Amino acid sequence: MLQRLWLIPVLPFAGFVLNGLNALLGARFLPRRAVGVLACAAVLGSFLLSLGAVTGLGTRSTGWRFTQDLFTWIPMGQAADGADLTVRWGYALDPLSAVLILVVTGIGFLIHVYSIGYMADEPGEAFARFFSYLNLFMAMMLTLVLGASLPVVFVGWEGVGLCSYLLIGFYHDRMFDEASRMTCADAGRKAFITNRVGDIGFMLGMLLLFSRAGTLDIQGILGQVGSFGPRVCTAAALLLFLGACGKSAQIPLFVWLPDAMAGPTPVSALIHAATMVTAGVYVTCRMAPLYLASPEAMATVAGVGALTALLAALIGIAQDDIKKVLAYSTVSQLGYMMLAAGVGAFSAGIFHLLTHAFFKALLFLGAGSVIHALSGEQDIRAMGGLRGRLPLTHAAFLVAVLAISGIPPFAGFFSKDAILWAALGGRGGSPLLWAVGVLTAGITAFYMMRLYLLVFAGEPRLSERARHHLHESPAVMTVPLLVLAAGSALAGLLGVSRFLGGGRLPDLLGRYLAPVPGLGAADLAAAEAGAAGTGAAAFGIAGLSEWEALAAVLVVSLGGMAVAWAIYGHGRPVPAAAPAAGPIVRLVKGKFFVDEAIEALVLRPYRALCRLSAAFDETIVDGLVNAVGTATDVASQVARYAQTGYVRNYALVFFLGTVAILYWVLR
Amino acid sequence: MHLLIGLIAVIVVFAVLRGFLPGRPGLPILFLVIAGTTLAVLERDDLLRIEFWAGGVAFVAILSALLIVLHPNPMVSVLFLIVNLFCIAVFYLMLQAQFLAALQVIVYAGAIMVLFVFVVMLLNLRAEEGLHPGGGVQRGLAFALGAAFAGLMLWTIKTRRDPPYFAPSSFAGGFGTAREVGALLFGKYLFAFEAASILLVAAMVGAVILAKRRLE
Amino acid sequence: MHVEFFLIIAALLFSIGCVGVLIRRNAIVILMCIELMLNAVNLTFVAFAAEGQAMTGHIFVFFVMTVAAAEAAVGLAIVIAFFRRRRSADVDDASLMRW
Repeated sequence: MLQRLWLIPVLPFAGFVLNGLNALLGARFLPRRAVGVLACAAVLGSFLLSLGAVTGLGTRSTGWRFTQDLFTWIPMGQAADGADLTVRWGYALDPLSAVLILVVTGIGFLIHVYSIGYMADEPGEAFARFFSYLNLFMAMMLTLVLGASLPVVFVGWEGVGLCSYLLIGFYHDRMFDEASRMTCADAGRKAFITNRVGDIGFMLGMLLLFSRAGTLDIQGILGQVGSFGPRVCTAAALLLFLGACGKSAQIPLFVWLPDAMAGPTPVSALIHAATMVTAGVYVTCRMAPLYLASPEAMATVAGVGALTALLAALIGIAQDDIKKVLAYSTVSQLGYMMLAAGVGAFSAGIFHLLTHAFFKALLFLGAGSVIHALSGEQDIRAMGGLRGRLPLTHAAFLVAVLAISGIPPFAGFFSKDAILWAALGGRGGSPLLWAVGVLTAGITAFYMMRLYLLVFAGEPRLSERARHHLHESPAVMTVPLLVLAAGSALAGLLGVSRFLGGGRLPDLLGRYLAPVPGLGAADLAAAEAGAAGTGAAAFGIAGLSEWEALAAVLVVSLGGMAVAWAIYGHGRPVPAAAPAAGPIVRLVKGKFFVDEAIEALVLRPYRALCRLSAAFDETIVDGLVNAVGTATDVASQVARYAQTGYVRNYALVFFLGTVAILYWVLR
Repeated sequence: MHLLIGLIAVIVVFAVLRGFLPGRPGLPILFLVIAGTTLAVLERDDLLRIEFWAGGVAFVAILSALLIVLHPNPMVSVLFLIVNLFCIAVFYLMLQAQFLAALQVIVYAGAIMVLFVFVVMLLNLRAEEGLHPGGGVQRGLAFALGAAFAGLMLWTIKTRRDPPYFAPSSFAGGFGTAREVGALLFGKYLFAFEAASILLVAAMVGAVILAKRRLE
Repeated sequence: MHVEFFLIIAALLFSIGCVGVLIRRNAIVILMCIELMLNAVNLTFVAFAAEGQAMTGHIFVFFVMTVAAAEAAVGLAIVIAFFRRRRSADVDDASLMRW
């Protein structure tokens, strides 16, 4: 079954081609039902193949790493020192990518099924186009995850960026935000370009590693990390992290994710919650040995991650659009994953990626269900009291809210706790990081509870039209919700920390990921040993045991939920915008003005530069070209006077030339 | 060579007298005849020498060429050209090119120049008003170039050649006769001969068409 | 007789002909000056033929005369045609193709 590894990305790609051709030709060749079935079948096929491949991994014969080279992609000969520079297109499967492909294909399949119901109102052509893009995205994401060398990963990296652009701007004729006159196409463009800024870092990092390692094969690079020297490691790690910031929406490149909500909700669920945005985390964990070799890079990653988590959570408090709340929540949780990576707890980060995929996808699909039921309403101030009217959606949504808030025994509790404990006592960890993480957990609990209360509880505040059409979603949409709810509830059991399980529920995920370079317990122990003196012990909180830390987090989370209950619960009227409560409120409501800062610091000078270049092109470049023409004109105006019309003048010139030639020949 | 120089001097004086006495042509002509005859008798030995005749004919040829170019009346120019052609024919004779000399007189002076005379008379051309050639620059440059060209040619002739002497007795038997020319024309250069005949036909047709009166 | 003598005469005649072409305005006189130049060239050919004892020079002169005849005929026909149009044989009147 491992031999069929290459089929895993190829199946969705075939689906893309078929549905794409169908869409191009006006959606006449495949009926609507066939389009949906085709797309879902492709992804289901990938999921089953992934299952088969993963079960084949780890047997005595194949070991923990399986590589499959398909063809020579860029033949480049040999370097001066004999290293083989040729780039091959190959896929590799190891525990890390195994986890990812199962998540991607599994949740991807559920979302494909959900989309059949959600997009049912779209015209045939758009329907086919949507599913072809979705399949293309799956193909690209799987290429990214399975890639054995950095260029292959990069192809997938760019590919998912492209699909993100296509899908965000799917409603290309609609306006996204009336206030700022932003169309959905603008949002797609913003996403693409912001990603590109990050990609510069990725490409430069790739080049740096290539120049030092002589190869672009990932295992080859990781094997030579020891020989790079600290500066190269730091530089390469930071460059790759810049790319990860773009993809995984860390500060300052997160601005595209909230605007990416312009796309259809299944897109938000799949791409901007469960899979694409996790690509940055995945690559960071994949290159873990590189990061482990550079404490500065690790500190940067942890710091950026923590700050992003806090900032996004704060912004999320004040949002009124259901999808925007979830978007900022995604940014915040991604910050958690980066924080985990930054303190060396890569497997904890992957664990959180896994659980987050479940409950965030569930949250988005649930939100989509609500929006669908309310005929397109997205403002939570116009919702309420849906608990009784949308029972299945409500139940699933509640599970997700509890999971993300870190309430045991749901999934988020275990993964978040693992991260926070590593932030406290792990390599490069510090109480400050831990405190930020705990505070963010509290704020997360607060705004998720706020969201839940405003949407499902209390008295309905619906518009007439929404009230009239209110209905629970069809089965094709609710079944995936229930599956994801089960996942959100149970996935936590995969990674129960040692101290919680008491030895009976071992850390399954951590042990599974151990063979991957950089993720193993040995690496972690070495990392922890290297951090001696900077951990909690140095700050006089040596006595804080794991139970106490866990209790602190739990208390803060429950406290956040209680505050939300106090403000929004019991059917209290929705408080109007806080009356001029000062600059802090304005700051938070204004999303900390990051977009405006980027506009002023980056975009405005850039546009000025563009205008300058345009002026340069028009005056100087065009001027030069026109000058040539003008010079020719002037020269001809002068030279025309040689045509006197008198034959004798012409004869004179003949004679002059003849004499000259004769003189020159005869001398 | 005295005779030659003397005769040239007499002719120059004659021209000067003609210039100063426009109304009375008799005196200069009288002077010319008397002085010329006297000189001829005095230096009659020179008359036997080929150099005298060659120099004299050369003098006439160059003089007539200058007058072609400088005289305002086209009819006079035509006549002087005929004189020049005759001089060239004499040169041909001196160079053992008898057939060509005959050809020169018959074809060139006899046919082509007759054509020129006809055309001049047909168009009834008068003397040009002054000789101004349309610009001082043109005239000055023309003279300068002519002088330069002549100088170049003379210099080349003088410095690039070793003078061989030849006398009429060293010529082969039929050199320059019609027989020799004919043998070559119908032998080695037959193709050129035929092509030349086609050229003449083309020229005839062209001349007829170009000069034809248009049927308005 | 030196060959140079004839060569010098021919060179001078040729120069005079050139100057004449450039100086005169009357088309027919220009044609005559061209004839003068051709004759100078003929003289050169015959001189070299005599020097080198080769009849080839005479043949060349023969053809030059032929071509000169043809050219004179056509040239004069053109002058006549031009004269019919413009009532003038002045070459400076044929200057329409100017700036």
